[in-house]
Amino acid sequence: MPEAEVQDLIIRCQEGDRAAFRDLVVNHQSFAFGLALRMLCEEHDAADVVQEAFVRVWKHIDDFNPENRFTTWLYAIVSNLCLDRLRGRRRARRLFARSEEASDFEALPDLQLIDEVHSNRELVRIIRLLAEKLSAKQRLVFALRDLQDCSIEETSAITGMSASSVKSNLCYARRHIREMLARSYDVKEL
Amino acid sequence: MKCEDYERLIHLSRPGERTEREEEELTRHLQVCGRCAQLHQQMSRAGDYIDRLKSVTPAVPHPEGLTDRIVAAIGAAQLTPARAQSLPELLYAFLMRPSVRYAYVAAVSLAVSLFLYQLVSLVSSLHALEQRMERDVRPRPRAAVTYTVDRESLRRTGAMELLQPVLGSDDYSLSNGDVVVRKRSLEAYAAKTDVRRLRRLASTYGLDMPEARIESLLDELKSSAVVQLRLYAEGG
Repeated sequence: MPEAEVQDLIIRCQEGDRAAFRDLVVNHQSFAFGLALRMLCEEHDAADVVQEAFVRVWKHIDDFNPENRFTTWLYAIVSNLCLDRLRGRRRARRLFARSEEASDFEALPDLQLIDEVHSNRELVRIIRLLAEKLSAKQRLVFALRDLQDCSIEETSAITGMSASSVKSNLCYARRHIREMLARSYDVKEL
Repeated sequence: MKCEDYERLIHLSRPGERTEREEEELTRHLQVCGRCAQLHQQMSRAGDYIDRLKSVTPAVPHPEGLTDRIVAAIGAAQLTPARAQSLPELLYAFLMRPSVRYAYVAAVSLAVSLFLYQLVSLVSSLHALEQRMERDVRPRPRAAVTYTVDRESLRRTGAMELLQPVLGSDDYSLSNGDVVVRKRSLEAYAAKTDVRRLRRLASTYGLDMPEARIESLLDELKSSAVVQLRLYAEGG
């Protein structure tokens, strides 16, 4: 959706137009869901986060700065909600002492087979294998930059990190993923 | 640069993540370092894998259902977009911030502490002033406080003769038929004098006084002194 149309929808939302808000949701929920699912790897959690994010958008629509892109603002809200959930999960995991080693040696699908991944379940299985050991920040930066195709500047604006911090987190994330792929498939042969 | 630095550059593999200079240096290094070249190759293949993964777009399970849920959530909560707040609302919101509320508590605590400190200072100053005033008002011992004893009664009891040699000339005088004795001298006399001493004095001066008489004389002198002292203490 062109940015001008988005801005128009936002102005109407600021006037309390719920139909405009519905259009805004329809046009952006899949992007928001994509990020949430890639971060959380749980469909239900991702849908809940998207719902909560749009409720926040509606509540704080007057705070939106029209000089920024709406998607940047929306992604920032989704990212914060996802980080909260990930931290909550890690706390719960520590509480219940679930083993994190079980998934280490689960096979990743071949590069050629990824094209045949059609369900969210298969997709999140791969992402979970690749990114489960990453810290919440590394995972967020990886999801935004490598999976959502945001630029370094956008990632920096969404996460509130400096560009160099984004790059550092990205390096750690990619090193880990490279090593994961090497262990699972022997990347020399990829 | 060390291999660790090149390793970092290898992982910044997507377009725009390395500067032109970094790109050139990395290219040169990869030609001479087999380990880094291998890492670069691994990362390039891992990059392909990630790119392929990126192309798989997650699908919202029930897009319309999700939209309805979101819109319903707004309706159920009767939410309205936050409007621009008026100045009193902004002021109220500012005053209700936790940090500002902590500041109130700190300010009130400080004010109460200062008040209590000043109160204690004031009370102690008043107490000191009161003590000073009391000290100033209390009568100071006079240099020469005197007791007046009726001369006739002394003569009648024979004390006159006894007192004369005991008291020094400075402590004893006659005035209008009364014996005037310094307080200090009389107190000292009353404290020191006992029956034995009086008997000795009586015999020295050839006074023939029975012991019972000496004792009664001593009692009389002491009680006279006590009465005089009491009168003096009462402001008599």
